[in-house]
Amino acid sequence: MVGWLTDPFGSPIVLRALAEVLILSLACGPLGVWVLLYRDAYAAESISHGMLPGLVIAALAGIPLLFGAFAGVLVAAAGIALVARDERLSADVGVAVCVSTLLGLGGMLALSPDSPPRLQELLFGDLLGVTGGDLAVAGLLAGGVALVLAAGYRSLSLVGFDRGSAAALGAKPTRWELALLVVLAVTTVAAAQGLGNLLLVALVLAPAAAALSLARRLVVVLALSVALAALAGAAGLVLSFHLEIAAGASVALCATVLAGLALVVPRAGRLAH
Amino acid sequence: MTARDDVAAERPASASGREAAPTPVRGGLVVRDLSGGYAPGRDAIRGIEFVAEPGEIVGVLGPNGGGKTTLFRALLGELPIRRGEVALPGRPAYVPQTERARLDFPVSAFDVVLMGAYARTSWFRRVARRDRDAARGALERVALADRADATFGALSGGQRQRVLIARALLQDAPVMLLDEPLSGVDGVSAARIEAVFEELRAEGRTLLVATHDVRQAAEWDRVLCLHGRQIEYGRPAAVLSPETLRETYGAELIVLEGGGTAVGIGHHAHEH
Repeated sequence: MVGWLTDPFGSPIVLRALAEVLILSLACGPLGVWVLLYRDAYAAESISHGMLPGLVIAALAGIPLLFGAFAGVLVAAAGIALVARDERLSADVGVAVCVSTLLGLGGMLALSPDSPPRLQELLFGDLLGVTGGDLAVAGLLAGGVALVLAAGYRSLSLVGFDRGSAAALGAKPTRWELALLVVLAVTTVAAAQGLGNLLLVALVLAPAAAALSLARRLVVVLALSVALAALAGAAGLVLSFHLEIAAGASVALCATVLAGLALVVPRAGRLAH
Repeated sequence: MTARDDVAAERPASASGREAAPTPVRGGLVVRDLSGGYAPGRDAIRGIEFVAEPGEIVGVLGPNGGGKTTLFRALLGELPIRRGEVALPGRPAYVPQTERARLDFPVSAFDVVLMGAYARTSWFRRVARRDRDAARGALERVALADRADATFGALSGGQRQRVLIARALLQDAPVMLLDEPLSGVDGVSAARIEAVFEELRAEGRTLLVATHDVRQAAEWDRVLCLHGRQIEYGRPAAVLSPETLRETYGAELIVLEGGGTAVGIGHHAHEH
């Protein structure tokens, strides 16, 4: 049994993949909690999906995906901001239109006959192809995200809990709402390489949803969310090794299964009382 | 002649209002000819002018949308002020209407009270032991010491209101702005909150309490009647005439009894 769990990590490829998901958990875990508390889940989904054209163009031009991801996120954010200014549309309609357009544009570019066959990697990531350099970049970005979230812990909780009183208690609401979106964008860029722009949302939202349903205190929720994200990452790699399924998809699946269990278990506990 | 009375006399002859900034009266609150609003060119409040001294409770009366919350925003420095001046003895504490706070947020009653000390805590430090003790003390003052570990969202409406008041107590502010703290709270909570008001009055703090309960405001030190503009300010006995109330509340007013006692009802949530 122990061997079944440890075997996969005998390979340096899987070991690097493990390091990547653990690093990403450090950023995705706490970020997801704030995203859910600020009701920004839709923005998380939109930002990550909207950056596809950037990734595809980077892949076609042969430049590092990281730059494509950054440019893609910027274009998606600018597009969403622009559409949101049109008062005839409600904000979510604007976002939906903008994101579908970008996703379609990305797909069209990626599926053209001249493109190298890498769309799969862009959408679902290439966890087992992570290099030492990728790890360093992910570590830097995730470390920055974790630092900003730690520094903003009190301000974010003031604004999230009671926006109207936040300024009187010493936190600037607009600044921290914006900061959270920037942090979300940076995390999206950091996670795109390993998990792809479709699956990374699972590692942001699923462990956080589980933690919020299991714990009652914010500090515990944040710690639990990191732990669950790491657990989903490790479990996903073990499963993908034995069942020979895609690593990124396996991680995303484990994260959502954990969230599903966490949502069901407390309810069963309450019924028992 | 008290300092209060001579505000009108000392009012600057020119409308510029840029003469010497008014000095707070022994730590009180001075508002002179205040106008402002969020929308450009449209003032949500106009011509607000009053002095509230330390140890005074001011009942702020007005219909929904009459400018009570907007006045508080102006005093907190969160509203663009177009004209006039505000002089405060220090940063005011603010108690919002309870339904403005999130019920699904993972915080205990104690966590919420501790937020009152965040402004004086640097981000890399734990909240000081002194402030933690003060937070426990504040919960005791609102008679919720035994509910410190309860999740905020699991408390009753009145208990939540008391927790938010305890949070404001922790800010230790000379001026406190309370937005309808007694609306829709249970009897036990209301009694406890009014007892805390008395204590705060004795400590020499200035309280501005937005309320719909005219009878209650009649028991406090001053009454400020708002309907976009300031209708009247002064001692309750002088201000609370049927004429003033009619002008303040318009169609929302129902006069129940004779002898000058009137009760405004206004729990329609137009502004939400």
